[in-house]
Amino acid sequence: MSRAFVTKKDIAVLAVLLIAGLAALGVRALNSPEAATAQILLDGVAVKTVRLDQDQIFEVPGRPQVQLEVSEGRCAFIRSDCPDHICVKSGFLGTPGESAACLPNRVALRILPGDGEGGSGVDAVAG
Amino acid sequence: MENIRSRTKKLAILAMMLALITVVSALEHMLPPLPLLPPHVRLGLSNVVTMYTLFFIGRGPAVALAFLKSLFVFLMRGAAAGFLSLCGGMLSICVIILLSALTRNRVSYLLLSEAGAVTHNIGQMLAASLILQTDIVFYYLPVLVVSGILLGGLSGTALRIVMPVFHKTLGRE
Repeated sequence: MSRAFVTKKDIAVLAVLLIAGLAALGVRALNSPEAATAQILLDGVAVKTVRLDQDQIFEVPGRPQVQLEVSEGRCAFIRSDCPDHICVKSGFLGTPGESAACLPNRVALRILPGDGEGGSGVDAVAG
Repeated sequence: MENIRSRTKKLAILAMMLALITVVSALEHMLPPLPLLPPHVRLGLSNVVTMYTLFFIGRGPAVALAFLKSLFVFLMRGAAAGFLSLCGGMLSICVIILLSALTRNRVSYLLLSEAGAVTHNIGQMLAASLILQTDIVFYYLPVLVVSGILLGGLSGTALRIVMPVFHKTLGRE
């Protein structure tokens, strides 16, 4: 099986995809509303909603080993018993739509915009 | 290029590839998360090993390698990480095999690497949404596609660099 490593056609395709992707990200960054609340989900169910204007530290209801903090209008996981701590490594989130999760504990955190109605990450769901 | 025929040699090579991929995977995971990206996204260098196995040893061995790598991740980092690795790895290698077969082997290595990287990210994202029972993770789809393209280019380039070295070490022309 001998094939080319890269062809001009490839570069063109990749450049188009890359520009489209970056454009999508750019448009999103320009249009993002103010963050107002953080929502905590456990197994897909919202179990807690906190306002981001009040600094606080709290545990997830039902998962006391998972701790989050609200500070300076942003929210982050700060402690968990998971092996990887990817949740903690996600850092502080402050833009609506952003999310972080502790998968072994099935806890998700997402930032909701000012009108309080978060909507889902997709525009529409069929079926 | 001639195929490696001896079954024993094939088994030994596969074992070496597995050792290599677990070391690369472990090292990659020790690096700090890449900036601007979700923290579970890694450099994707372990895909270099998988792709080499796929292109120059065989499809079966490559799929087995991807599966065993996920098993390794499960043993080292738990079920959640293992499931993500499994979904990402299996989707990625299936897409590469399909793409390669459907286009009658005319697609370049770079494009296959990119496709593999992007679908690996998408597979992981699907796995995460399954575990969390929510679709909020799809917010990161654009980031994962863009980073897949960029990092797929990186691993594709790495494949290009190590290919002759692997060929030589394994006794191919």
